[in-house]
Amino acid sequence: MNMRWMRFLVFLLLATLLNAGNVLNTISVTSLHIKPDLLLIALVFFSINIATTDAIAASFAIGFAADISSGTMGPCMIAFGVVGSFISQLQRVVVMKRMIHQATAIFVIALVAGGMVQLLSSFKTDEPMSNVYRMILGGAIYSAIAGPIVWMFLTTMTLWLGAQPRRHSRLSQR
Amino acid sequence: MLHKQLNMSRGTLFATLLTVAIAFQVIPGAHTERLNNLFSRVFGPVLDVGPRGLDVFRPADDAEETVSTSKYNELWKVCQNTEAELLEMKRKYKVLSGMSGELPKPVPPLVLAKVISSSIDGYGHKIVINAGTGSGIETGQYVLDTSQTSIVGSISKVSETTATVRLVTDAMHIIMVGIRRKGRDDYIEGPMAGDGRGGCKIGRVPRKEYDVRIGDTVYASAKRGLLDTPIVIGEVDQVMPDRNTPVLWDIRVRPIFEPAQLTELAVIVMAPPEKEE
Repeated sequence: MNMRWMRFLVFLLLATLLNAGNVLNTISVTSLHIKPDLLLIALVFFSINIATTDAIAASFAIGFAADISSGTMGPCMIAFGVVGSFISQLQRVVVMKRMIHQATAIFVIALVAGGMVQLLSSFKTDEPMSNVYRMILGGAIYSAIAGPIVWMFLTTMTLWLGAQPRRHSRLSQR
Repeated sequence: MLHKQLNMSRGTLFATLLTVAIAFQVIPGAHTERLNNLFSRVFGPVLDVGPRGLDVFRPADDAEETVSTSKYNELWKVCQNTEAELLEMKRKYKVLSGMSGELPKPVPPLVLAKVISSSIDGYGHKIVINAGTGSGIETGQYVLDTSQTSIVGSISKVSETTATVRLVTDAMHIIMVGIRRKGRDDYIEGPMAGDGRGGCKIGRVPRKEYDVRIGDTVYASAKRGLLDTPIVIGEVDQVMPDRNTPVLWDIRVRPIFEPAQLTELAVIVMAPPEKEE
């Protein structure tokens, strides 16, 4: 089944508005207002669950959406694109059926992608950021906790998006 | 599959998209910000739905019951700023009393701007306004809230049509301030930095020499080319000996403004010192 890209873009716009808007402040924690990163969870999900080529395009698209809503163009698109493309190459060896695996993957990828984004942002803008390490770590933990719930929602969306979930069987790949 | 529809290999697709991403990274922010501003303008109303970050900051809660809290806050700020202005005028009078010329009241030129978007989280406390270099705004200029009576921050980044205001509560924001108790004529000067959590802290004030108490008013110090008369920022919320350097005070300040209610700001666009002469 071919990916329905127009539907994907509509989904991406809604996810971006939700991620960048104030709605998520209702579930933010600590005085640093740490929130789960919905776009990052979507990145991990699509990278693992759709065809490799589609995953590459989706990763860069999600990165572009993250950039346009964050205020600095470039860092997220590069970081999400590279990380998402790399994960999509691991589809045959990585199985993400259990929630703990999903949460762990989201946590690790959030740390890596978050670090890359901050590094690239520092090249792009000379504006100093505060609490970078706490925000990356806190965001990664919160995203990992919220990830499996969002994952379930995304799984129900895959058919509508035309992205057939991959069968998690290494034997079937042989 | 996408690569079959586009008739390109996975490697080519990845390289093409990565090139586009690197181009975005390399293009100066002044150009790419237009995309971000367009997004903020188009989806601003949707993005604004929901709570906007920090909770309410209040001044000392000794308001009379005869006026509402908002009215009290307004009057309190006006009162504090008037006192500061009076002190400054007294000082100038002493210096100029022997001279025959008249000194005009310093009324700084202001540029009003609406808030386009705000980003108040652990990374920073910043607000984007819809006025930039085209309106005479430059980095470093002080910014007032809509009532034009209390300093909320300063311009940290500016483009032709927009500017970013770094609030005084941002951990990277530093400003020289003066602490004054009601009834006294002198200020205790010191640098104030945001704590990144909605408050501010003042350091480098020796305990032996200065007496600071909860409730003392904190003003942004006058700075040539940026601010003629001290303007109120907030009040001292906590005073304790510094943990690392017990001979100094650790002063916590509660700003008077409420980030969630900042919808319109005024930038003080005084002419730089060299242009004045």
